Amino acid sequence: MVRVGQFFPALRPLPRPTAVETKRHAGFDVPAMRAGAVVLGLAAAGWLWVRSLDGIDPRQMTELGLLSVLPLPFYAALAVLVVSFATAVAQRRVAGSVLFLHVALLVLILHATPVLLYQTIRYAWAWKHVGIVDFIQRYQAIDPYIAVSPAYHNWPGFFALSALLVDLAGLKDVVPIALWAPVFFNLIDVGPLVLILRALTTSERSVWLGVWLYYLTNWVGQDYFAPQALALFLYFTALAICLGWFKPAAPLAAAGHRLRSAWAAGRLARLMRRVARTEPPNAPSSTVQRLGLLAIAVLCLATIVGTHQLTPFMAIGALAALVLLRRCRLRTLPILMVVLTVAWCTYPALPFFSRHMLGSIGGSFGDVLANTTATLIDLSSASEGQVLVALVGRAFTAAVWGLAFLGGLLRLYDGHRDLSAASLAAVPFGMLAINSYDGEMLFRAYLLSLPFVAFFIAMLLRWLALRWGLRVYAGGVGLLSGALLAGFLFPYYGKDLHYYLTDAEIAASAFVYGMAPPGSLLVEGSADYPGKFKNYERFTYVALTDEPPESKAQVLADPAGSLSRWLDNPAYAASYVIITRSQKAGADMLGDLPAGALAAIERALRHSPLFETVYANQDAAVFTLAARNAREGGRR
Amino acid sequence: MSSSRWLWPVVIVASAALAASGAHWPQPARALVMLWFLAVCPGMALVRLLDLADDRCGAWTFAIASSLCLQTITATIMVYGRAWSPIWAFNIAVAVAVGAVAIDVVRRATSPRRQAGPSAGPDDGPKGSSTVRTA
Repeated sequence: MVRVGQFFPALRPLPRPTAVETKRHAGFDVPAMRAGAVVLGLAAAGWLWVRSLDGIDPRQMTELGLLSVLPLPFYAALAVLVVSFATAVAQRRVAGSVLFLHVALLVLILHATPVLLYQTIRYAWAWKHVGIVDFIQRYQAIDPYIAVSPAYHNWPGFFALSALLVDLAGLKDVVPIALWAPVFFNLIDVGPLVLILRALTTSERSVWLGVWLYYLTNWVGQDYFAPQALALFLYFTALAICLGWFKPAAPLAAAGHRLRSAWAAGRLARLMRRVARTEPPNAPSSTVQRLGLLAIAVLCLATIVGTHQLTPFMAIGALAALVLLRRCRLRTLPILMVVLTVAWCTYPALPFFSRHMLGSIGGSFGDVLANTTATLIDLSSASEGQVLVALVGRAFTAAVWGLAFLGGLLRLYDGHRDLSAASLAAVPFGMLAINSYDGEMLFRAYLLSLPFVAFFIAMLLRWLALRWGLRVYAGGVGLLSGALLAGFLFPYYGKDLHYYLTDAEIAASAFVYGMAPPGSLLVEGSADYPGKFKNYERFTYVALTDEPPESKAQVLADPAGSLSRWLDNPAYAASYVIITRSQKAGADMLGDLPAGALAAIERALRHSPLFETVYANQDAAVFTLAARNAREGGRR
Repeated sequence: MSSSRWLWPVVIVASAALAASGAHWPQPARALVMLWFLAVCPGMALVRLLDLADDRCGAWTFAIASSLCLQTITATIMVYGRAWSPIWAFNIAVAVAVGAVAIDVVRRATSPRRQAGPSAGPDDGPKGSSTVRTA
């Protein structure tokens, strides 16, 4: 294998300094000073972050979301943390506990900040998940044939777990748990990420750098109170077990021997011997330990099957790839996963699978381009701020992939064959050939491939360390972390103008769900508000932003007239229109309606004699038909 | 964890006792104790039987994963079976946790010189030494 250093002597690894050189520099104990600086940096970053949260008013957010209100000390806290991490990870002796503290503080800063500032659950979909838990608590059962949000009743594991926790913890509802879910899920993901990366490299420095990079690049926001977050943790845990304890002792070597006469088999055997050389061996274990770990992996996979629609298919692909490439000797595990998934889809989840999923897959199968572009918002109708956020997000994603690709190429050039990492980074994207997953497949594939993408970026930086030493490495880690952090903040915080849901909006929704009789029609400005979190199965929902263009045009031309006709439908027990702050922000930013359209509709309804305002506060208004309200109010 | 031979059994049993007796505690203490017990303790009790003492990261990861899986599967069976009973789910979690702790304690008490972790006798991986990890 040709190595870079053969042609470029300057790129050869530096000779390691002697112990004396390392410890003493101009009379100072340099490593001790660096360790002290790291601890100070960690403390300073924490202090700056806590202080930075004072006096922030999320109501002042502009189209750049949380970015527009976060003060300088917040960014200073992140900068100090980055410098501290870069220093800590470039120490000659890497201290895992110190690096863990850095990662934990990074998770807190990035994910606890919205919780502490908003004091309400961020992101409208999380509220819909609260509604499923509410359903289970009230009925102590699920309804696989339900008309609204049926998928959740066909994969109810996460919601059943949440309802159980709420009941046992003596909570009124799941809101306190959902509020802190992003912090919880991000923190517990550290464990399987460390185990996965330890199975890919013996460099402890690269392991922690990979974990750090995972959090800096995970902008897709699937860490909120949702089945995906639980399924992701279990998926990573199962992969960690397969990669860390169940690699074949000599991958494909046996196959190479059996087919020694064949040229291809010889090449294959040589390749796989290289793979065996460049990936760390299994963690030492006894038969009992391996049996126990196998049981945990099966438990994780079985739980995923009843918890989330997409992750089981991703798991099948990942496990099959590992087995086919001889990177995992649990050959029956992908078969077991197929059996479990098929069994779930054809029995407990049959109502949803037969009505929705088969048709959805049939319509998009093989159309990779359509399934990919379905993920991206239409920039032509989005607001200027959202165009910037979307473009930064896309550039950031492309840069992350580019860096990982470069890292992979350099590893290849240096004689490494990271087959496990490469295949697990690529396999999730195979799902783009099957379905768009309601316009989210690209993001989900990105998310599931991220530990392995982060591994290759960590390897890119390790390459720097091996060529130019740890000082350059620290500089590279610091600069790259700063750049990635800047890229991360735009797509992650940049939509918070409509992800932030105020107490006033929640109160308006609670009023409707508490007061509206079962069988009511609820016309929403959009689904971007804290909706469906109470008694959700009792109502029919129509979101203006999801209506066909001609229907939208009619409402925009004559809001009071059109909506009065919609609401005056005797098929519904009662009818309401609810318009909130976050709906208006979301519709304006994403371009689902012309800018200011929802505000204009709200004004029209307020001033129309056809409508009566039954509830209003600073962030929301609820309307009903005046005549119908008088008629049926008297009857009630 | 290697120094916590008796620490975890005590923590797990104490957590189970606190969770069981905390029905009248004020919030958020009641919720925190119960969530701690349900999310960590049954799994940690089971994982300790695997002697992953040298792998703290692995022990915590598998403990949380096992605990969440146990609660999820129990709750899923209850909603499908229309047999919703949080008390029974709690009893199952306590039985798993305390049962596994009992086995662990008896096992360790009857083999006091037993070494935890890889040195207990790996029959896989590099013989005679742990995986070499570099900085």
